[in-house]
Amino acid sequence: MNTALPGPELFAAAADHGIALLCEFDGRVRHIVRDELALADRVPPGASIITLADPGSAEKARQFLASVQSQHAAFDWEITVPLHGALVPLHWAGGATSDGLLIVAARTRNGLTRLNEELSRINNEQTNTVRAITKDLALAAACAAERDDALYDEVSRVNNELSNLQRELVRKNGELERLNTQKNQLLGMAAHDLRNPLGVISTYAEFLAEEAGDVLNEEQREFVANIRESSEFLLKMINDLLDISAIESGKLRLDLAPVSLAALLQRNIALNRVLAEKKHIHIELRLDADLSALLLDAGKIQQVLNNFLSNACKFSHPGTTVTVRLYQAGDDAVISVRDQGQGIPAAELDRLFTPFQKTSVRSTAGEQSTGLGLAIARKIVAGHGGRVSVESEVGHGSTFSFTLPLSSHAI
Amino acid sequence: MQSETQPPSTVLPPTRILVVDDNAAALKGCVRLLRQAGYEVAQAEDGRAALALVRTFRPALVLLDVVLPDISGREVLRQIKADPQWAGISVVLFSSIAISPEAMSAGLKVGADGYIARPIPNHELLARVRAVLR
Repeated sequence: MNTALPGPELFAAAADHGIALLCEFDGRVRHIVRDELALADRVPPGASIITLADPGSAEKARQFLASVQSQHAAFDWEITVPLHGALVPLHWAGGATSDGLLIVAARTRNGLTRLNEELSRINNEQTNTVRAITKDLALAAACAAERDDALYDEVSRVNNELSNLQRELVRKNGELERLNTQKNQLLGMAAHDLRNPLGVISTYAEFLAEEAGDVLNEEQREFVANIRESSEFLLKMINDLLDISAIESGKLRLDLAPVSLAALLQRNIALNRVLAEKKHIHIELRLDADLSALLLDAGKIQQVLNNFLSNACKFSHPGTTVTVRLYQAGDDAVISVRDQGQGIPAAELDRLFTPFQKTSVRSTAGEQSTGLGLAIARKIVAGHGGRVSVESEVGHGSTFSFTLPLSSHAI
Repeated sequence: MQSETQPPSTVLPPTRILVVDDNAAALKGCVRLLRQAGYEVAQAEDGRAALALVRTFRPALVLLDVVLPDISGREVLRQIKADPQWAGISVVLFSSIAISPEAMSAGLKVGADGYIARPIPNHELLARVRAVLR
């Protein structure tokens, strides 16, 4: 280039320079209103304003022209123009008047606005019209920009809110875990602190029962028996509470080993028979399936059996029979405990396996229930992949059953 | 029951048992039960007193509560088992906390000769003591 480079001042002044042209409806230049960019030579009257654009931007320039023609106005199109030997993006605006088109272009959007305002000083109906239109368009563009800003703000706000919520959730979760640990520690301590005095009560009640037998009268011996029974019940309650809280905090530990269900039932029933005979209830065992050993936690399954059997005896009258059956149904081993007791109203059957939901039916000899046994049984059976169920008819008795999948065959 | 207890042999001195428990009433009950069964019994309410009595009383069996006010029952157990001169002493841990399999194996690893979950009926406690001493 042989011309001296323009100084910084010139660049500053040129920053909002522009050009304004009056054109025919087809885009041919009729008259150049202003030309601060020295582009007039490139668009002699009769030339299309599209020729102003760089060939690479000619298509966009055509679209701009079409937009002015069809919409009667267009504002702030960026179209590149060769300017002083460089390709410079210019901001374009245009509007249709009653007898032609007014097109303005400037290096910046501000320049466009300034040019527009200057044109308005020319007392010319066409430019006024264009000015009015382009002002509306500028306003609309500003509004759109504002809307975008508002939308952006809203999205940011929602985003912030979400991350705050996320942090809050993490915090709450940590707090819950801490509370759960505390609860378990508390339960452990409570169990310890309750069992100790309980142990003392039963030890001394036992001393009394065994050593003062002949000194105490019958009523007083009953007092001692009540002390012993109540402390035994309290101990069972503590154990059940610890069980259910351990199970509910996901700590059901199954110690699986190959077990013959038939042998387990025989052993368990022999023990329960002794207790049942005290109430003159007979326990009958029917082994209707010859099953191979299953992988089970024998202790836990015995706990379920003990619960079903003690319930059956609690709600049975003397002289009746409790029948325990082992049979196969499809892919399951089924163990059922049927009593000839009082039965349970249908409305209560659903909630029997929920903690602390006791039946309204009274036990036949005033035996107590912790209200947790069936809930524990259900969790233990579920832990083995089986189900518990109950059928009952008031006045005829109840059948409690649980299944164990035969797929848990010992290898 | 009196008839169930086997009085230790009249020729040999009675078997010595040390009971360690910080609950005075439980301690007294246990000591009474064991004395009635014919054992010679000493008692301690904390870990330090227990270790002192292991030295002077020379028990054959220590019934040791896991929870003690000064040093834990497990630590008392560890110290007894660490000393070769006390190799013949059996130690059974008492626990009122429901014993998890982990806790039990941890205790047995340190060398406990047994675990008793309390509360336990009197006759069962005597049966367990006899079993360990056999």
